[in-house]
Amino acid sequence: MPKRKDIKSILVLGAGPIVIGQACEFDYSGSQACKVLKEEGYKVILVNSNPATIMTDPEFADATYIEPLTTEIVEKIILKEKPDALLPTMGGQTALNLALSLVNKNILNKHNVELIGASIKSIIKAEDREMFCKAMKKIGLNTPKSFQVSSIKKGLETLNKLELPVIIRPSFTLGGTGGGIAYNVEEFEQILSSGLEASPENTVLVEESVLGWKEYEMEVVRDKKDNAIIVCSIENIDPMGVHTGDSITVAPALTLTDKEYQKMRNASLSVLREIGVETGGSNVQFAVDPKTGKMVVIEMNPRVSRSSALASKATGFPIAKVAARLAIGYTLDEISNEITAVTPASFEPSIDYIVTKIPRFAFEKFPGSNNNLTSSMKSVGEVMAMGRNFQQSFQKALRSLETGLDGVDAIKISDENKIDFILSKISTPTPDRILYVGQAFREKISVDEIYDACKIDKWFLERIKEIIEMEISLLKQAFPLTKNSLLELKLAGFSDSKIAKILYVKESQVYKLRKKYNLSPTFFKVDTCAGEFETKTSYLYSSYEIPYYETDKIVENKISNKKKVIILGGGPNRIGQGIEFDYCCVHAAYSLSEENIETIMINCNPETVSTDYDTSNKLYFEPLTLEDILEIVNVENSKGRLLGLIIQYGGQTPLKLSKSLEKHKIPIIGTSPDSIDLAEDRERFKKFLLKFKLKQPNNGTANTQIQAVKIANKIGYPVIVRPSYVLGGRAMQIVYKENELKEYISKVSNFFGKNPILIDKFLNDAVEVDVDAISDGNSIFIAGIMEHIEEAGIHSGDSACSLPPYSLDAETIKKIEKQTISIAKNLKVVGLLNIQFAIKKNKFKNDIYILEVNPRASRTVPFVAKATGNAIAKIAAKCMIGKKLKKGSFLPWNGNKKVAVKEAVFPFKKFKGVDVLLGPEMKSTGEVMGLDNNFGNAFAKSQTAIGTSIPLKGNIFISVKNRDKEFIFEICKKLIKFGYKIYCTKGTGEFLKSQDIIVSVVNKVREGRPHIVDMIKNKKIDMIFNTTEGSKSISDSFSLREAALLSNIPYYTTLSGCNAVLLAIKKLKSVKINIKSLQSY
Amino acid sequence: MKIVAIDYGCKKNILELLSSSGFEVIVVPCNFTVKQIMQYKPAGVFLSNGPGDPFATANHAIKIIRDLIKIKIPIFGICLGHQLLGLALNAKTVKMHHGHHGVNQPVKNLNNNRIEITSQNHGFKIEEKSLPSNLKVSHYSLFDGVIQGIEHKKDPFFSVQYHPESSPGPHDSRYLFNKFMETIKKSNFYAKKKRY
Repeated sequence: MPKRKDIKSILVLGAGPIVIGQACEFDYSGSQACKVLKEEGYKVILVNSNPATIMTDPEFADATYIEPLTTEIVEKIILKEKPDALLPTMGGQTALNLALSLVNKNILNKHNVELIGASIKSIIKAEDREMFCKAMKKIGLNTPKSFQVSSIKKGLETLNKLELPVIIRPSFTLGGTGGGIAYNVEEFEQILSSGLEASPENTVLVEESVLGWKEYEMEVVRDKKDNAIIVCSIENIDPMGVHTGDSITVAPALTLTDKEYQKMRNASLSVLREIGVETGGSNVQFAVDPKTGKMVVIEMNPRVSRSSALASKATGFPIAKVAARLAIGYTLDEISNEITAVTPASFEPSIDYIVTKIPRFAFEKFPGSNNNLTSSMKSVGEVMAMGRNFQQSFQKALRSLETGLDGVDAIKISDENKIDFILSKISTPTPDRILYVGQAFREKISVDEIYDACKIDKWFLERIKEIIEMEISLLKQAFPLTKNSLLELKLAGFSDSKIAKILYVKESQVYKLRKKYNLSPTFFKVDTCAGEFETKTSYLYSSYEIPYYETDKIVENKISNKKKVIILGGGPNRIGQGIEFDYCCVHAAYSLSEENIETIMINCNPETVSTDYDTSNKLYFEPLTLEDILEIVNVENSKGRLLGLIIQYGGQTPLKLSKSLEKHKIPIIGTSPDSIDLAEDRERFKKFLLKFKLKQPNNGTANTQIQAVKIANKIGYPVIVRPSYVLGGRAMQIVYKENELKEYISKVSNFFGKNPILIDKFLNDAVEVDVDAISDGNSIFIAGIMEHIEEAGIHSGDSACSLPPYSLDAETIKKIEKQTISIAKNLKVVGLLNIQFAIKKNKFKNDIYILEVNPRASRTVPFVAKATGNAIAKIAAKCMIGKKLKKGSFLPWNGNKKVAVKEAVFPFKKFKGVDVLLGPEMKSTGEVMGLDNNFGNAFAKSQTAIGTSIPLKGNIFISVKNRDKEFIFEICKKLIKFGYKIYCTKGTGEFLKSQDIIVSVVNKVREGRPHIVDMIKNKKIDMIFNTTEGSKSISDSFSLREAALLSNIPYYTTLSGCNAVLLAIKKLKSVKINIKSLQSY
Repeated sequence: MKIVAIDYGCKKNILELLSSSGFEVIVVPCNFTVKQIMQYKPAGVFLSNGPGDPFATANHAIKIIRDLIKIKIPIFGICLGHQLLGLALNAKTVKMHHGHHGVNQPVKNLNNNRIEITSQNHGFKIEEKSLPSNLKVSHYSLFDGVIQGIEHKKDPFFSVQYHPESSPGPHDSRYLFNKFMETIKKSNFYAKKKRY
């Protein structure tokens, strides 16, 4: 059946901001879907609150709404655009839940919008645990015994029927938020209550635990004619008990016999049939008892999921594109496999390589949080690697992580009883468990013993053991190695750096030896068909292989004669380096193709658009390490003309490599490595600013504690301290007193070894400003100036900001522009540049300080591009290949009528016991944009988009630090005028009463009950303003913020945040919220 | 239900699936005459898979199969059996440019328009243009259009080029063994046999 002609326009729901459990894989699937629907001639209307996505680029839809994903807003869009259909399966759980509430509120029916891609019946059948279990029973499949409950009492009753440990799964949540594994009754009650809270339906499933069973996933696609195929099977190395998003996984499944596999395949197909998935992709999860082979179905997602993205990247089969085509009426045999172009999509990809995915975590960002892995997902990103055997694939994935690993690295253990210590480390899943498995083999612990402790399948344990055995035998060898032993190591995935580390030689020596022996990897294609058909796409991975290696030259990798540019991607998502950088890399590829340059992408993050095979001309799915990049450069350099590498778009990852790349005489286009170094090197940078008469907060660099104290005394407290060379403000802190400084230094010296500590004067109450600019070497274009809503001292990635600035005068802005131009010129920037300024407002004149200069793409690039309508990453990429900026070809950054507010999204709910206070260390995972014609409404939208709607009436609790008291007076006066009731603690209350403001006083937590936390829990408080400083009062008010977080009450922890809320309230009270597409601004 | 399977190099799993589908299977060597075969009073004959160029094998086999066709006993063939059935019914076989090998081969079933993922391992095919008018294509490869199944338009003869019994391989086409059972039950041959 051909595509449907009865529908003309389709509304696509995006996934919103990046959060744990829902990352940029939904930008990948969403942008694929939009591309397909447009190609097929439909009018595409898109709504997504996340500006850092490729899908929200104006070319991807006919009408793009960067608006909050709420039923009210979507209804407004429906009214305006009158779409015929709604596609909810590309935007993760967010989109699916939103579609459900649109149906429940009868909005789709009312406006005659058809749900496509999934039926409401099948969504509910898959998501409602009770119905799902019933459905599975009907088709003869087992599920773990489980009970659905909606109260603590009912929950406790289930313990009569189930044995602990049990798993608690909240319904309709993503990434298992709020759920977990309970080993005792106390834990059970605790997790049960957080699970009930987290579920939008207030129901959880208490489930028999199948801890230690093997875990599998099948990616299935089915069409309306009941054709169904398995795209990929995925096996979790970490057995049941660890969320699959947090597990190390491999594809294809490696430890199943064909009989077991076919049983699972048949079961997956029956699950899709029974649930009724008819037009799209789904994912079915299984657990298998390693003792008996008994198989149970764990769950299924009736939509494109994180695993679908991984399966797409692992096989080359574009699941989201195919699913989008199925949604509009095609059947599988009518869709062609884009990679071969001659075969249909209705086949099962062959994989002649092994794929490993390893998650990346961010526990270090949340001190006090527990790093045990459970059924609630906590990882913030992931890497994928491919190799012709497991060991190559696995070790490659480890070094792709950028956590300093060169492979299965050794762990130093100081504990006396090493063996017991290791076994205890292995028995609890943590991010490091797999390294402890390696360490166990170094300590000669047997496979059986390790298996008993961790239940990781022995096949994987044996492979890791082989790696360690090779490492041990390598220790006995002398450098230089023979050709054979070097080849053997490469075949087992040992990197040059790992070999160098073991033999105490330099990485470059191993590299040179390898070149002498002519040992290089071969590049193979990911082509869905294992070489059966000729393919035109160039999606490649490297691997060492015999015997082909000797005869070599199965040349799957065709090297062109063109002019080419290599773009280095950003690697795994982490806090501080996420989708924004991928956006930039994708734009570099788009932009340079327009110039007829062959674009070559290197990246190892499977969630991204940059690793989509049709984003660039060639894609190397490889780690971003020197060795891997050199090999690619070598082959690409053999023909054609390599103009150079772009290293300023992938965040800190490629930037760190600039010096070593330069050493190897590899051309880098854009700002030179020397200029990058100048901006990063404190002393050089200080001199630079002095020379051009620019101001910087007083600062110094300390190598010892004594030095640090001396410097801090000289420049005066408070100071802001951090180790040098860090990203995302890692371990950055504001220090108010000498003893705090000493404590800080003793704490970080463990982490950072010999890196010096940087000390800056902290500018109290300064306004922070971010500027993005483009330079072609001569002329400079100011791309955007953003004013932070939170004051200086809050990491710029965590701070909300407004473009254009909402409180700065024209003169200050002029000065900022002038300074930006001066820095760009003198730093010889070619490409993008980001500068952070701090503005200290004085009575007569504002002081402008330069906090930081980054001669690279910044996190705000996509935001600025969306807010101003200039594709700045594309423009800057063209500058790097020598194009000049043309005057008048851009829209002025502040010339249009819209105001854009960026707000950050935080993962605090995932990390129990962590304070939500913001500081100089970045903690947010994603961002949203609120767009309107005034600041108040734009800010209000940004708040709605992160899920905390500003209340228009009710009770506000205010507790502020002493310094803020004089300012809070005005705020309270306005709040009362707006009709709010104010609650305060004694201190703030007395002050306000003395100013004739009517407030009610409530107890602080330590003043006895009932106190403020009781009030919050009783839902008596609708919003909280709480500013605080000094460690004591911070810890005093901790439980207050935690309660607010759990109850989802909007809270603002900075004075400027409070003021922004007031502006929003004022607008919300007078103007109706309006929506407008990007294209119509 | 008793059937005879002619062994050209038969895969064990075919026999297992036939027997688990309710057949009593007698395996006979490929040089058994129709007379010898019919001594067992089978309700149908199965033509097995096997190696080699079907045209060469047909030198011996085709005569026997044509005799079976004459008495209209239901016939089901797999792989080489499929090619031999085709040859016996006057189609031609040719060597393919590159054969089909693997467990992910999509086939379209023209009887219900559904896709089956199949296991295939063959280097020869029945040539479509040689197909006599009393035969129809029941399955074809979605990779390159090669005939993957034929059916006689009137009489109870059908065969597939791929391996519905695959192991390793998908189970999408296991229904064919039941289809053989149904074909037999519906056939005149079976009705006559029952009468006696």
